[in-house]
Amino acid sequence: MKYRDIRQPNYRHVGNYTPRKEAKEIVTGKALFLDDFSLPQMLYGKIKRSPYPHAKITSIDTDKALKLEGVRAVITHKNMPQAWGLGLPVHRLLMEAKVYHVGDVVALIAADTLEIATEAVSLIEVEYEELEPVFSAEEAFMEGAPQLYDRFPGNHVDNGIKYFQPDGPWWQIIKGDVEKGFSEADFIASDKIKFDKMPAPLAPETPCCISRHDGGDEYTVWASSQSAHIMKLMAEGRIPNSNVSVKTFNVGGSYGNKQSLMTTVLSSCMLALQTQRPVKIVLTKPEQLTSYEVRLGSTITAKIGMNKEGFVTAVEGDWLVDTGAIADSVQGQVGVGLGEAQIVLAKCKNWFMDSHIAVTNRQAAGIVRGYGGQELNSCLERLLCAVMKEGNFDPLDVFKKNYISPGDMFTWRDGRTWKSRSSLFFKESMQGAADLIGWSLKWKGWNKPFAVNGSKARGVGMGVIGNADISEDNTEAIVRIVPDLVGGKRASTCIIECDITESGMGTRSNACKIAAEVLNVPYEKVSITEPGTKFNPSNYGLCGSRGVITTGKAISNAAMEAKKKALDYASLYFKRSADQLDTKDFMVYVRDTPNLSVPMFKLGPKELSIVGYGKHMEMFDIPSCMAVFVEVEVDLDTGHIALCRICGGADIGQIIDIKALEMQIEGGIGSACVDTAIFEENILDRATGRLLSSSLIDYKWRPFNEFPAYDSYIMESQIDSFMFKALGIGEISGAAGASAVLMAVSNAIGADVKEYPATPSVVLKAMGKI
Amino acid sequence: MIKKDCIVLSINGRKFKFSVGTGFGDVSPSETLTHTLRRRLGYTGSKESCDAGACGCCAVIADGEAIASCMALTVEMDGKSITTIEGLEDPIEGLDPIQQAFIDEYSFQCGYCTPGIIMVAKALFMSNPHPTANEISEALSGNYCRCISQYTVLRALNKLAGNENAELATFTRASDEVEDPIPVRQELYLSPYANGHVCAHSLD
Amino acid sequence: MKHFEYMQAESFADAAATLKENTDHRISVMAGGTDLLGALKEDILEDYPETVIGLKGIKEADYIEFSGDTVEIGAMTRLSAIASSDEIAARAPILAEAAYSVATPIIRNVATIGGNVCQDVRCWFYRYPHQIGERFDCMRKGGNECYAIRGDNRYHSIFGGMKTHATPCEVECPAATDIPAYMERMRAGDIHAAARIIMEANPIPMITSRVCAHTCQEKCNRNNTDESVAIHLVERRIGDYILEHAEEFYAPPTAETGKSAALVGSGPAGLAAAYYLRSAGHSVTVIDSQEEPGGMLTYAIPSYRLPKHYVKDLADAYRKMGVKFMMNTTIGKDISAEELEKRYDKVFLATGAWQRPVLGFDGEEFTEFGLQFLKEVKQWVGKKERQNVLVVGGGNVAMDVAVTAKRLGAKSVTLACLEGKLEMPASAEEVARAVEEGVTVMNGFGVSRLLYDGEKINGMELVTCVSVFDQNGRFNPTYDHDSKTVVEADSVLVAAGQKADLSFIEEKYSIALNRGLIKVDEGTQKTSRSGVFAGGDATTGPATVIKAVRTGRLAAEAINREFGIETPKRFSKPGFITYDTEGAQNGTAVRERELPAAERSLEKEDSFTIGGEECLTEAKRCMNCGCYSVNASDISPALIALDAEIVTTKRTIGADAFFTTKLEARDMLDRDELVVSIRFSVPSGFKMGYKKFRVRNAIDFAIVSLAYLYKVEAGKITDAKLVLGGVAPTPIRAKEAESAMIGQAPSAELAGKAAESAIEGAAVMKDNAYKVQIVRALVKQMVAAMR
Repeated sequence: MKYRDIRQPNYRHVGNYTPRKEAKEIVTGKALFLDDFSLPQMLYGKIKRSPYPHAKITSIDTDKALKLEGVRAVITHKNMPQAWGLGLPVHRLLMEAKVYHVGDVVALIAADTLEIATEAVSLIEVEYEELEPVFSAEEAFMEGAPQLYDRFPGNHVDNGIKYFQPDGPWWQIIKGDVEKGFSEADFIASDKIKFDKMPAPLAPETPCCISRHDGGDEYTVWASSQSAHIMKLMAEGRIPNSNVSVKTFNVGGSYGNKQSLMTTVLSSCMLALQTQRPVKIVLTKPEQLTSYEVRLGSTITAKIGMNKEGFVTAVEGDWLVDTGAIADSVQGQVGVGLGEAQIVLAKCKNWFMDSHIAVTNRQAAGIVRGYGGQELNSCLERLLCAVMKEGNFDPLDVFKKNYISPGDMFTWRDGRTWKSRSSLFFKESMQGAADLIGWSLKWKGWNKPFAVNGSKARGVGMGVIGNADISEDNTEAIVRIVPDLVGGKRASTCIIECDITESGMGTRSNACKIAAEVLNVPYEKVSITEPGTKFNPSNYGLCGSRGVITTGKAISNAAMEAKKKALDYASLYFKRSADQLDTKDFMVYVRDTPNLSVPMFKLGPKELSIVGYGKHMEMFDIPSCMAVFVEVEVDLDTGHIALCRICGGADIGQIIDIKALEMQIEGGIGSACVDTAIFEENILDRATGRLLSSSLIDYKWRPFNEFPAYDSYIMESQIDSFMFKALGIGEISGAAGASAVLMAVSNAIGADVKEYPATPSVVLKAMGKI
Repeated sequence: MIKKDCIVLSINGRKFKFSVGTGFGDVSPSETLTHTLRRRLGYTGSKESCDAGACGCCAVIADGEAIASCMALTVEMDGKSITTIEGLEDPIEGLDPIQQAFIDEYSFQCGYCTPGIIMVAKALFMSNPHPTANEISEALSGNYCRCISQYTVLRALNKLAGNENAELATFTRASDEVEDPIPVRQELYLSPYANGHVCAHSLD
Repeated sequence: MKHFEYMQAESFADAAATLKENTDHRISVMAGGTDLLGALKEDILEDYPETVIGLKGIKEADYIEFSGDTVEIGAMTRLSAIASSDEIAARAPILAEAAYSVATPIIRNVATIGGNVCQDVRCWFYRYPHQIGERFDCMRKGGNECYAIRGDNRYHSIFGGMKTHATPCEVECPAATDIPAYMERMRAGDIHAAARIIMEANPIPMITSRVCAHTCQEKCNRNNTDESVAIHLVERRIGDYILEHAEEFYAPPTAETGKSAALVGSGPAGLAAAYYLRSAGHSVTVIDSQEEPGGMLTYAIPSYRLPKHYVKDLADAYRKMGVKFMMNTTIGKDISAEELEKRYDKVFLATGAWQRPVLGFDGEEFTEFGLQFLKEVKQWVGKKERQNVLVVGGGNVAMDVAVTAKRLGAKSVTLACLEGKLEMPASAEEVARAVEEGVTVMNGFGVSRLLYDGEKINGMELVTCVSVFDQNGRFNPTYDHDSKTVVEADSVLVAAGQKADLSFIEEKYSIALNRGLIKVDEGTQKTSRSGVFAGGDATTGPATVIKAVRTGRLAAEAINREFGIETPKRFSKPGFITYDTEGAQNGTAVRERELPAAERSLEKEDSFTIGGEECLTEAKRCMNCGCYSVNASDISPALIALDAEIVTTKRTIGADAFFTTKLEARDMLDRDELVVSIRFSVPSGFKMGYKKFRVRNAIDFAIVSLAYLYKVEAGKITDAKLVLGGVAPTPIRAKEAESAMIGQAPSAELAGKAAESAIEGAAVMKDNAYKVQIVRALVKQMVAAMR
């Protein structure tokens, strides 16, 4: 089948740019974010945090803090009203007589003002007995290493969470015969690569919430979460017997990172329970940077075999994952990471890839865009480079050959084996992007720059990643065609009931767009209910690059059902069969006689809506693909890396919104992605256990005046994901960028760079200049 | 020395007179402009994000220049004229051209840092109606955006400034080259789950 | 932000006056505010201001003025105005570029040049936010440790640090020996210079290193994480070196002053005073009642700790230096104090504390005085035989008594002292040695009464001591009289306290006393009698050798002053201090090698001096505690290059002095002094610029910056000025690079040479070696671009 054989549909809304529903609110400053909102009689919460990475609390004196006027509650591990746990599986309490990372919760304060709460923090006197810390998975697994939790002997997080793997734990890819695979290999390379700087996704809006105790075990939480549903799920798992209603506003960036906010939410809930008043906790930027969740630490030791044709014949390795002081969704992430490895190396039949998750005394790692895959990919592709270099292959050829095609099998994070029914054209999309960057001219071989001008050398690099998450998570939605109650030309509006929080990807607007397309009504006439778990059908919200697909499927099914009902009513009205009818702008008309039409409000029961229900059920058989090419210029004297250009290539099935797609693709380079190979890192001071990158000055991010050109190559091959054939891209859009940068830098300087990030020091060392 | 008991600020054209002190309702001498705008006056458009002058989310225009409002004490702003994002839209004329351009070009994602970006851009355009592409990106170099709206922000502002060929990002659609398509792609591997009524987890 | 009062200054004079008046008030001055507000918000300093004085209201300080060649910029001029001034760009592009490179536009719109030049460092340890755990109490804040030394120091100095204040080890040393300074010399392989540094504070290190309790080691900053530097082992090696090169170190003075001094007592105090007085050229006579010089060193401290020959050799060296010893001469008997005063210009009394105090228990008269025992052992080794010995006391003398008794062959030695194990005044090593050799230590017991039968001793009844010190920390033991224990012994040696024997002070000789000790003025050791000084145990009661040395030195200095001779300024190396990057990571101290317990005797020294390698390893463990952060200002290197002047409310200071003299530029200013303007002459015919290497082209502070200025005439560089920022605690002139360039024609070769010269003297830390390469690159690229 050729790409040109594919029909390119002509939709009324889908594929076009429709300004977001809240666009005007955003540009006028009216869009409401959590910290813009308050409740009457609300208190402000603050957290007293640990200065030590691992210590016992020997004494804690809260008298002075309690005496401060305006302080309403001080809670420590000694007087917690209830013992709420953290982690999945729960392996510790919110506060304990021990602290496990710098920034761990030592005490909670609620006060009348933020200033009073902040002052009270300094008045709590704590004495600690320091314990030896561990700062990496490797150290944590060593014999005699300090032990963190009783639940995890040897600091080894057990793989027993049913939630992610319903058939039982899955953490190894074992298939085929590795020995045989290596004997068939012509080139073998092995190495150890670390992606262990645990960079921060660093949403501009810090994690924050307001909690209110509603009596009994009921709580209402207003949170800056991108997924109210996940937060509810997690919170109810930790507050025994509870019923938590979660409400959200606009979310100021999340990148997967602000889903459960468990420490913050439990802290404010506990203060609310104690004070019987709503309590707001807004983390400061330093708190977010040093004490909130970051990317997983990843170290991989592996051996890869490749035959003369460039096919990978065997992969053997061990993936050590550092989840920091709290193990939460890490098992899901490891499952996804292992799954993604198989998508990139889909033609390899022989695997023995093990994984081990460790708890350490670093800040907790959590969910971040890329969800385990990016962390593994950044290591694995460096290893793949090593074997490609052995055989002197062009990486573009190797990636194209080894990438998944329809019919290839892989095991996903649910532990089940799936057969891909995704795009046939991933190779073409890789080539398309390669052509944009001029790969055939700029690829000069391994560790070879394509241009040197004085001290400046240029190189190109590439990476490919894929994910099969686009249909994850069951979702439901209700679409109502609601009659306008008054007015001469009465029409109708469409209301979608679906729990979607807007955190920037435009999913709420896309949901409206999809319903508008199905019903063939103006986009402006479709609205969606406010996000919240209590009064909406269930939906995981925006997590993973699947928001548009899963909600889109549920909503399009619901809209289809509503439409079908309208047509059924109309078939009675027109006395024609429903298949002769169609809808437009809340009218039903006879297709071959369009002037025969009737407004929908006249068809349904008086005053009542025409309601459709739709759902999406989880599946994992549609992998996506994103190829990233980068061009860098390295100053050979200083080791400074300038990112000159990025080209991305993908087959996204069907564009839902052209500009939103562009944002999703370009957006992939943010949230601790491509720059984790250049300057972005959380800088741990091993001597004190503190994170020195505690401000937006010391934590490096890319400023406006240093953005490289970004060119994308997009194919739209109409993959059968749901009615509108789209394939999610946001999760993976930049995820291969970091490994691509290291390849490009290695080529520019003529020496292998294997360390993330390639700071001037790393680059100069690789060149032997220091 | 002047110990201020009372200060007057003009914010979005309205004069506000505040008592300075520690009493209830007084502006504390240690209060930042961000705090006054957001918590006292409900101008919540500008955001308190890093509170260290490094992210630009709190940017407002003070006497014609963009400043980080978290790095200014309200008492120091006595007599100054402040414009926030809320003051940009004209009730009669409508949105400021920058605001409109941001909508047209989808120059935001989560929108949290957008008000700060718009205010810095506004100050630039006020002093320099036709800035170069470099002047625009340099002016915004103190504004943090993590969703990566930078490409579309620069696109909107370059268009406003009349900078042709300043496009930093391009989009190539393979479909543009598809001629005479044969309708409908056939499904090679049909999925039992594709219809949306069967859940993978219920297969056992 | 926590609350503070705010006052707006109407003029600099106004602000200065307020600062002057309110000395008891914590006031911070705020220019642009971006630096100060950041520090206050993160609460990085313990000292939070009660009041902030805002200078921004001083409208007349916001100007850029040109008159002839002179440019003057008011302190409240914002950086954005400087960066965008066409005149500045044309006349002093170096300054425009530097201003433009600061932070981001929204900060430059607020930040002022006056604020920029006075800004605080950006060290991430210094700036660590208080809200996450707590702030770092680093050296720069008056604390004890520079966390960058062992922490992540990628952005820190590559040319060493700067001392912030005396280090804890130095403060703890009674003689105030500059320990880090001599360690630094040792690392540089210059034992001679190291020796000189010690000798400035202590002329007998070969002795103190052996017998001093070296509490300096308890204060070593390494204790926070691993083991203290074994300071005394390094000192001992240096001490031995000094004695081996005695002629050099104890050289006679080059000129005689004709003044004379009599020193009574040849113990450590007397020896110390003698050295400094003789070195100054006075005639020095040491008078002692004993046969051999050294006092306690010779007669009390056992040979296994301090072999006698060290004292003998030292005395010989002193004699060669011209110090006269008058032995077997007892003051008050052979010669009166008054007589001494007549015969000598100055008198120093250091007669020690040799007398037995009366504890007042039943049977005390049948017990022996520990010190006397030690003294006698020295004279008649092995004459006494004892079976079961009880030693009373917990100090080093008691330990010496116990170990000596044991080595003499006692069947059992028990030591009882009031103090608990951790409170014992004896050094831990001495206690350990005693225990190792079989001495039973009983902590928390005081004497009750002797159990005796006629003259035959059967043992001692001890009473439990509940606490040794009272609430004020004074020695005031309390006992539980219901809790008693009996120790069987046939010999009881009491080593709990010693008294000064001041019998030589006759009635008519009036000298002020204090609790049985000679009363002296602290710091000068002056007694109440003019021309008479005193020191050592006679003024302090029994104390450590090094304390005695201190009093001797202080007395000598005071005497010298009275003779009109100023003590030469103590060793201070100009410039920055350094440590050894790798060596400082080493967590384990060198162990003192000792004879196996079985081979130990009374005569042979128990331990050995460490070898040169070990000594170097240990010296490398010293972190040379100081501040290793770098200057943060972009403006200051440019101003140094421009030879600008900083005009304050009180004076005008050259930029070089202003920025490089003190650790913090603002330390140059008095409390009530403010920067008013910056002034410079436009250098004519010069090309200039400001290069700034940083991670990002906005927001970041310089990792390395280079402010440069040069003149090329007829194809040759006739003048050049290079100032590096971000590489040292202050901006630094790359003078070697300048001189390498001047007179040369620009070329690729010269670029390389200048680059190498610019990094001369670099002392990198663990993570910042790359900065050296950046310095090279910036200089190279600058020269390469010369036309």
